[in-house]
Amino acid sequence: MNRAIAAYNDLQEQQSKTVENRLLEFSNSKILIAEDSPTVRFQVARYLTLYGLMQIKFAKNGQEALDIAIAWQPDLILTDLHMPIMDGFELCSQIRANSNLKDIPILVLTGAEKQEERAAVFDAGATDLIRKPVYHLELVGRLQVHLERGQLIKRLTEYKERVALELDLGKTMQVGMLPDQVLIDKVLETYPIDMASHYQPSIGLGGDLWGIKPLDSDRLFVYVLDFSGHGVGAAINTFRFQTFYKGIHKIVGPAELMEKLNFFLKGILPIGQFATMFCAILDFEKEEMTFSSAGAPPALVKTDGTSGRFLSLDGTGFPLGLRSSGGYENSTLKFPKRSSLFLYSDALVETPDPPNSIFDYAGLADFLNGSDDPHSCVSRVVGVLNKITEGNDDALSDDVTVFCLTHLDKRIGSDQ
Amino acid sequence: MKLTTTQDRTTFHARIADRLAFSDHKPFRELLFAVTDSGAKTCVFDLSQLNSIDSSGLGMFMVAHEEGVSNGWELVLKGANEHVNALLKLGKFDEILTLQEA
Repeated sequence: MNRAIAAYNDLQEQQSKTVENRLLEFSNSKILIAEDSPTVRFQVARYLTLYGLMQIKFAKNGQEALDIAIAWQPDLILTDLHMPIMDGFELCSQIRANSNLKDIPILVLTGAEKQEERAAVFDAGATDLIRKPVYHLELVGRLQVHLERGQLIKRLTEYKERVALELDLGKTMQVGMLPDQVLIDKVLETYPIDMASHYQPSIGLGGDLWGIKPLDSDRLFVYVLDFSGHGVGAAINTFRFQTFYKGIHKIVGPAELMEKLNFFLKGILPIGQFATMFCAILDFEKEEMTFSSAGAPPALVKTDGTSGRFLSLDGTGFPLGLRSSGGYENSTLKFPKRSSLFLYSDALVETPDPPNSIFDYAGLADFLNGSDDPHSCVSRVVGVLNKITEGNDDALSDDVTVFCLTHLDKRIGSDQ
Repeated sequence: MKLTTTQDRTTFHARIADRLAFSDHKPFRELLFAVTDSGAKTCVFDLSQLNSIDSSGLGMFMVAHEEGVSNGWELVLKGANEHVNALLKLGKFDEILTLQEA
């Protein structure tokens, strides 16, 4: 019998020298063999070394295999089913339950087990089966498939982690373009206003932006901008905008600024990309607001005190970057004390997708009018966000920006 | 985007249904190639079944418009519902593109 086995093994070894070595590129792979039979351990290891796999470790039972796997992180595990101390079923379960090991392919060496038992091994977490006695070409074929798959998953995981890191870095840079707390504090000290905002890109980076800029002791410039699309492409356009915006030394008026910005973006954006924008100059001395819109969602304004209602302003206008000349115009309205301005990007009225959106323009105004705390900008911003997400931020499929400002009787923290 | 296309001698008809959004960029580009390859003089996008559109979708209409200008066919957007129509008018796209009622 032993002579017959030896002859069979010799035949297999001879064949291995005549067939193409499909495991050549996996010669650095680490293989763990869990098998209580020294004969089978020796046979399998011999085949692997014949195909150039030299990093092999052995375990005589499942517990040994698990300990080695934790310490050594093999690329693939070959295991017997029936072993002392811990069998192959339990080993599979333990490997799958370990977050550091769960993706390792496990190939189970099966002998005369019943069909039900062979099926159950997959429930335990096995990746594939190899029949004993092991035929080297089958072993090589299955190893190739599973090592390739493992390598692919590893590369994808590394790629995903790298992209996530880069997106995080990009997000930090993008958030850096938003008004920081120093600017917000300065604005709250300078003007008689309450203010709140929320900014959330849909996939790490986004095409939305909002900003405030003190013009003098009485006038504040505000804007909300939304580039078409979302993700990296739209985010890059926000950086382009920032380049333009930082170069503006004097803001004459909203329409004048948008005309310049339109010209700038028309020169660099490809066909099909554009930005919508609402911007305004709030003059707290004259108690008026001058604004212009480039196709932005209609801004909501409440100008007749606490008893008044939010109404939509006309947002009609060519989005920026669409045509050489936008033809933007300024409009002015009274913005007395206790007036409020509510700006938002389109995600607020398109979540979930129309026609099932929670808010349309009129519905959003109604919601704000019914707000429990009509004086607080924070409660308005939080209120609408909670309404559309119901606490689940994943409900948003697009970037979202919300900005609210109220003209107060006096500056926060002052007696005047 | 759910897309159905038909063609007669001079006109390419494309019914764009459901939602037109950022993720439809590739099939939309392929649609434009198909329109140009067909030799049609007019391309009608039937929007009657289009429930929603995002800013990328509006941008795609602009790309289609330019593609038509460059390749000798005219784009017509037909039958947009109230919501889509409102977005087209908010951005004054109706002053650049040809819109038709259903």
